[in-house]
Amino acid sequence: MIIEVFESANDEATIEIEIDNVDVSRVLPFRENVGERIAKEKLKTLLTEVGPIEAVNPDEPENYYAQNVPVWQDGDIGTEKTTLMDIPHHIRLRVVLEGVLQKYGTSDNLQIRIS
Amino acid sequence: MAFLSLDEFTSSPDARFFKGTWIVEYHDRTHLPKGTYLDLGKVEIEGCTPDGNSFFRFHPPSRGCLKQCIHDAWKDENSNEKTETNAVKVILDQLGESMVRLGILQPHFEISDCKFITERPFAVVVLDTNALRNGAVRHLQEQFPTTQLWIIIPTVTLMEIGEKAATIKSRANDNPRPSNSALIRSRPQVTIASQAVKWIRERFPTETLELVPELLRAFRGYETRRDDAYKEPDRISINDRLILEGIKDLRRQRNLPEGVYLMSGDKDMSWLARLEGIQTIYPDLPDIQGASDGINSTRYSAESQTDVVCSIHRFLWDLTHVFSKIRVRKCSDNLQKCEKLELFYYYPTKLVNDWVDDKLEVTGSLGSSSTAETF
Repeated sequence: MIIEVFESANDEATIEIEIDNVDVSRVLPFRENVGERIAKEKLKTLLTEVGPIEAVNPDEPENYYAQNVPVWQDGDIGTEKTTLMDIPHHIRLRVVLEGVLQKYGTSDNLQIRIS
Repeated sequence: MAFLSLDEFTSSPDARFFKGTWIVEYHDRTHLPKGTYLDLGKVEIEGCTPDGNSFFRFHPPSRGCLKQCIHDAWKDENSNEKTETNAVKVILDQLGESMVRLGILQPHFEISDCKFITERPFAVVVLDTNALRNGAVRHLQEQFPTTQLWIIIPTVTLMEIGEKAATIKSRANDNPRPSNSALIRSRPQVTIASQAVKWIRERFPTETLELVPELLRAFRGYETRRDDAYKEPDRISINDRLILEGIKDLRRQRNLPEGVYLMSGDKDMSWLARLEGIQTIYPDLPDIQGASDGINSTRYSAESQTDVVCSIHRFLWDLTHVFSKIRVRKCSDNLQKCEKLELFYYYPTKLVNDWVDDKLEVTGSLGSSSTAETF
């Protein structure tokens, strides 16, 4: 999944964030907005509604979780030691988008595009 | 009641958190009346993965709410507006520091000569106690992943840990006093800083910076003087001076005119050092009151393209180091009947091995729920 961050109205993205292993088609309501530019206010609204498309089915965890994601756990950050963990798609997407809002939220023209 | 290490606590069936909102409170006998707990915020568990990892949002208490709770707790004691305001600041600062330490919040680094650290392959970083306790080294390595950090821990920093331990111990049996809330700030300086030294030594090339003998003789002697006619210099400023002179000496000895940084969580020390020509790194900690929707237990590190995750057990573990006794309970009107867990770090029967193994006294149970397994 790629998140493009635009700080101005032109077509050039300020930054592209590429995240492996996130299935946006499993995340409400963002799966309806794939490929379109989302302005700051709408992004804030969508983030309040973020969630999985359905309850987890124990037989199909891959539909719900990004599996075996290497993470820095419990403060052990910045080192080579990572732990593999399953993280729900909607939580990963929300965390990244909240980070984008935090970093670029001061820009009046902030828009993002998920593809 | 059980005495558990972090791993044992994490896997304990009595400490299995399930979906819902949990209230976190603390009691500290040094400054709160017996049986009084203060609100530290709410933890909203969003769900658990099949392998037992919880994802949560932490909602810190508002400044006003916390101040009211403190006022109510101390209404019969010798308390005043200033003491209460200071206590609120200490509590919120320590909550924020805890989340920085655990990696879910990031400090903003103010670095002098930032170009050096971004363009050179190495940096020598000298730490003071504040930088040790707030986990700034981890964040520095995260934000500058290609820079090899050579860590130097001054002996005066290690001595400060011992001094703080003695201070805490000497006041442990005092009658509770509102002004003792300042002790909350000192605790991480002892337990967390000493664990951080161990963590750093295991992961980075580390050495100890000896004190300059002439200065040691000149300054440390002040502390033992008890002549009322002579105003004793502040011990902290002596320690700061010893670190600064130690850095200058180190640069001379090793012919390193640049690339030796002082990393200090003390703003005053940072700017004083910079004025004296020492390169500095100051980790400015975020204000947790700014997070209106709560703070996630996960974070995505754009610099390293890696997810950062903190477990609820590790979070509570860290809080007990700072706040002594933590109670977690389900949001419910009936305190007696609700599921609750009490965690106590500074229990009186703690043995040397318990300190080394970082054990907690854990009482109570969170019960079980059909929703415990998944979201």
